[in-house]
Order: sequence, then structure tokens, then C-alpha cells
Amino acid sequence: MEQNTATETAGDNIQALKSQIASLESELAATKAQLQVQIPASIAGTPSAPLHLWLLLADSALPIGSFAFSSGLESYISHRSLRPVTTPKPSPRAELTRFLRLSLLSVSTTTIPFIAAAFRSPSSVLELDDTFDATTTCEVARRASVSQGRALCSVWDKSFASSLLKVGSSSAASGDSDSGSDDDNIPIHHRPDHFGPAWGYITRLTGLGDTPEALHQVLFVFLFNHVKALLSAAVRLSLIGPYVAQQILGSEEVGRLVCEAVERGRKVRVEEAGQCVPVLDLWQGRHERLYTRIFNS
Amino acid sequence: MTSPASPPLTQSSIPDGDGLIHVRVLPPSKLTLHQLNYKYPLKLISPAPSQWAKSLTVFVLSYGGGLVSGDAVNLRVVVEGKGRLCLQTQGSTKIFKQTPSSPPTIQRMTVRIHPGASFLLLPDPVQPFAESNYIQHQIFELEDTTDDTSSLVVLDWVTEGRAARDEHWSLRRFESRNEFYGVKNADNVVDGSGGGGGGGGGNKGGEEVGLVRGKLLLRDAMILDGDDLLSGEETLRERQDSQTIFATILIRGKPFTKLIGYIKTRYANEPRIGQKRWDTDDDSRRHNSIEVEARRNGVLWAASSVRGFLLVKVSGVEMEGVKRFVRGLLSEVDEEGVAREGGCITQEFGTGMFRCLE
Repeated sequence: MEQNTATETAGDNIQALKSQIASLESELAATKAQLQVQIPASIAGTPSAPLHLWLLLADSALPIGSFAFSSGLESYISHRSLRPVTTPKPSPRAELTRFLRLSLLSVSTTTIPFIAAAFRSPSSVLELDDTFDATTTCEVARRASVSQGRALCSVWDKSFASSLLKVGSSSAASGDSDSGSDDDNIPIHHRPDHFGPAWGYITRLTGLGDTPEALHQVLFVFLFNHVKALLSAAVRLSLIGPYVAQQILGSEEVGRLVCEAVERGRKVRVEEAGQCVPVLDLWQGRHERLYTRIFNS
Repeated sequence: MTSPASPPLTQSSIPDGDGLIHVRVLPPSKLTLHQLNYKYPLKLISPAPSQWAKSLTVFVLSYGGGLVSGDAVNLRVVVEGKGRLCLQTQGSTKIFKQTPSSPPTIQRMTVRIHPGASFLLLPDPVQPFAESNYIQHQIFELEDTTDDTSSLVVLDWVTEGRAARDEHWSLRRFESRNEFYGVKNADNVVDGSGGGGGGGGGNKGGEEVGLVRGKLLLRDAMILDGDDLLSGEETLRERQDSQTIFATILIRGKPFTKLIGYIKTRYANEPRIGQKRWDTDDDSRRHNSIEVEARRNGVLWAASSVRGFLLVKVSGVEMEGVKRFVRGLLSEVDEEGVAREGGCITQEFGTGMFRCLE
């Protein structure tokens, strides 16, 4: 008897556990589905999202010198401190997040259209580069863009091209004929000067297809890197500490801002690109007038 | 005046809002308005030049002092060799509220500047009212970019609206584009490679656009979007950071070399921005009274040399301060804040060019 009751209880337990597992599994599936709705490309693991590539490009150790630029943050903070103190002074963190929003908005209507265009039509990247050069009228911003763009091209030449180049002559040589004859027409020897056009072009050379998902990734990683560079500059300007920087970087708000910037920017045609935060040009342009400065922009 | 076409006939045959100004120099050196046409809502007025006038002035007006929803102005300007033309306005260009189902208000201007010709665009600011929707597209075609004898000074500025009615950047949308192209004149295009220099990408660009526009030298674009609220609920007004006026000045060409040099020096002399004001005592010595006053009024400015142009951005919290500052810069004021006798613009164009800055 005792044995029977023991087995019965065990059986009940197993039943209970099984039903619990089932409910948990369905919950998991539902949550996964939600996740896919929110972030379609990144977690879903589509074949067009090679994790290896994104980790390389999002690496803060990518030697393109982004750490030397604050994209106007340093000048912004200096200008803010010159203002007469009337209202309660905003906290450094509040100043930073405000600048972050303005900067993302500005990049989305100035640089993002050119990254998207260079990615979609890599053969016209040099024209796009020249147009971007004509459109970027702030001297300080130009220097920052050219410096990082050229550095990205040399990292590509010296480090990545040998392993990551997946289009043009090399794909033809490997007999990968069904991977699309379009890719074979992509010229591989252009070296644009500016960061944005170079980013769009070089990511395309890695064999990413011209799909909306791939473009989303390309733009997302560029803007995410931009946020990382700004936060890193903020830490070195002693506006925030490293923990707060990570807290902001991991926040839901930053994720949303970056996604919004991607969506806003990819809809803008190159001819329509322009500055939508005019004060930013003034702050950044006046960076050279700072008495002391630790960044190049 | 000396225009061969009879104005009434020509004016009835052109579309609404269109206009044409064609400046020609008759030998030995008589400046004439070869053509001057316009149609409602655009109006052009040219005061008869005095005998020794160095330049022609045309006032660009709109009936009733502003442009209403759906108005489209399309002005074409040609300045031939040795021509000197200054476009001004008589009061700010008011942009009225966009009515439902009507298109945005549009102002287009295409200016062709021949070799040896010079062009000034010194209007009053654009004043977009609440809920207005405005697109301004100005194209400048420079024929000589090799020796830089096609020269210009362009001022483009915008204010927050009717502050008295509590309008602070409460517009719906505002777009302003200034594009500069290096073009060859038609004869050279036929010659093909013979022209030289003018710009390598010229022909390629022309084929794509479908017209001979040439190589893009510079594009300065500002887009203000009142609808596009930023996450975090920051409105356009907040984004403008309590600045009420933004001005852009673009300068290029040989005749303005001195002016460009002057502005660069002034910018280099700007005091350093920092926690400590080391320069306070130097103000009177190194900076003219207008600069000192502008700094007190919160005028911010930056100058960049970009692709053969000098580009100056100015912003401020108060209209008059920015006006005085821009006038000081363009008239090359000396240490006392007095306009210099030999200022570039006055020397090339004569007096009265700064009416909109007074």
C-alpha cells in the first residue's frame, strides 16, 4: 500500500511537472514571438545577419579612432556652462541624454541617408562621397568624418578584406555563381573619404544582400557605435561614471532612439538630407574656440 | 526701361509666381536690366540706378508682404559678365499658416552667374508663422570656378515667427536649401574637353539629372520639422535651444577675397570658451564694440572654409543683435565698430546694400 501511494504521488508530481513545462514552453514561445516582433532581424538569426561581422564592426577596439571625437558634446557642455544660471541647473546626466537625442536626430537626417545610399548602390559610392563632402558644411564635423572614414578603409584593406570580402572578383573566383550576379558588379577598389559612405560601402563588400533587414543592421550598428562613442566621451569628460554609461547604453530609451533614427534616416533621400538641429552646427563649429579640449570634435 | 520685349505682353504669358531678372552690361560699361518679368504673387521692383551706380538693385516683393499657403514663386536670375546685381526685400518674408489640403509654400530661385559677374542676396529674414509649411530652394550656378570670377554673397536667415503672438518655432515644416553648382556656359559644353578646369564631374552629373547643371560644389540644407516630435517629447522649440534666429552667410569669389580674410581673422580672434575668462581685459583691444556687444547678447557664430566657400553660421536669442552683428561682419567694421571705407561689398556694389540689415 505504502508503495502504491508513493508511486501515485510520484505520478501526480510528474503530471504536474509536465503540465507546468507545457505552460512554460508556450509562455516561452509567446515571449519569443514578441521578441521577434520587436527586433525582427537581430535575434531572429536570419542568414543575412552574420554575428561575426557585427561583433567586429561594433567592437570598441575597432582601430578607427572614434574615441578621439565627441561629435560636439565637449563644445556643447562648455557652452552650457557659460549660460546664466536661472532655472535649477540640469544634472550632467540630463544634459548628456538631451545631447544624445539631438545628436541622433541630426545624424539620422545628415549621415544615415548617405550610408543607406552607399549600401544600396555601392558602385556610385565615390559620387555619394563627393556629395556628402559638399553637404557637410561644418569644418569640424568634416575633419571627424574624413578621419574615421579613411581609417575604416585602411582597416578594411589591412585587416578585413582578406577574409571578409565576399563580392566582386573573389566570389566569382570561388565559383559561387548562384549567389547573385549583382554582387559581381560591385566594384571593390573604391575608397571613400567620409565615414558614412565608407560604412555603407564596406559593409556591402562583406556580401550582405541589398535587403531591408541587412540595411537595418548596417544603420543600427553605425548609430549604436555613435552612441557608444558619445557615452565614452561623456565618461572621459567626467559627466557620468562608467556604470551610468552602461546603464544608459543598455536602456530601453537608447534602443528606441536608435531604431527611430534608423527608420527616419533610411526614408530620407540623399538630395533631401540636411541639418535638422541647427544649433548643433554652431556648437560643433565652435569646438576650435574652446580654451581647453580633449577631443578632436 | 531698355528692355526690348514689351513687359505687359511677356508678363501675361508666364506662369503665376514666375519671374526673370536678366542683367546685361552694354559697352563700355552700362549696367542694364535686359529683362525684368514677374507675375503674381511675385513682384519685382527696380529703382532706376543713378548714373554712377556700381550695381543694380532689385527688390523681391510679394503682394501683401507675405506668402500664403500654396503660393509658389519661381525666380530666375541671370547676371552676365561685369554685371553687379543685388537682391533685397522690403521687410521680412512672412509665411502664413498652411490651410488644409493645400500644398506647402514654395520659393525657388535659380541664379546664373557668368564669369566676371557678381551677385548679392541680402534679404530680410524669412518669418514662418505658426503651422506654416515652407520650402525654399535656391540654386546658384557659377560659370567660372577656376579663377573664381563668378562671385557671390548670400545671406539666408530665418526667425522663430511672431513672438508677440507667442509663436516660437511653432511652424509645421521649414526647409531651406542653398545649392551651388559649377557649370560651364553652353558654348564650352559643345566644345567638350576644350573648356578644361571647370569641374570634372560636370558632364556626368548633367546627364543624370537630365540638364546641364554641372558639379555640386556645396549644399547647405536646414530642415525644421515641427511635427516630428522627438522621443522624450522635446519639441522643435526646445531643440532650437532658445535661439530665435539662425543666419547662414555664404561667400565665394575673387572680389570678396578681402571680406573672406576679414571674417576669418575675426573668427580667429574670438575669445576662447572656457571656465575662466582670461580675455576679459583684452576685449577692448582685440575685439570691436559690435563683437563685444554681440557676445553680451548671446550671439553665437562659427566660420568654416569649405570647398572654396566661406560659410558663416550665426544664431542668437534676439533679432536686432544678430542683425547688427551680421552687418558689422559684412561691412567689415573696424575696431571702433564703424564700417570701413574700403569694405569689399561697398567697393564692388556701392552704398545701400545693407538696407535689410538696418
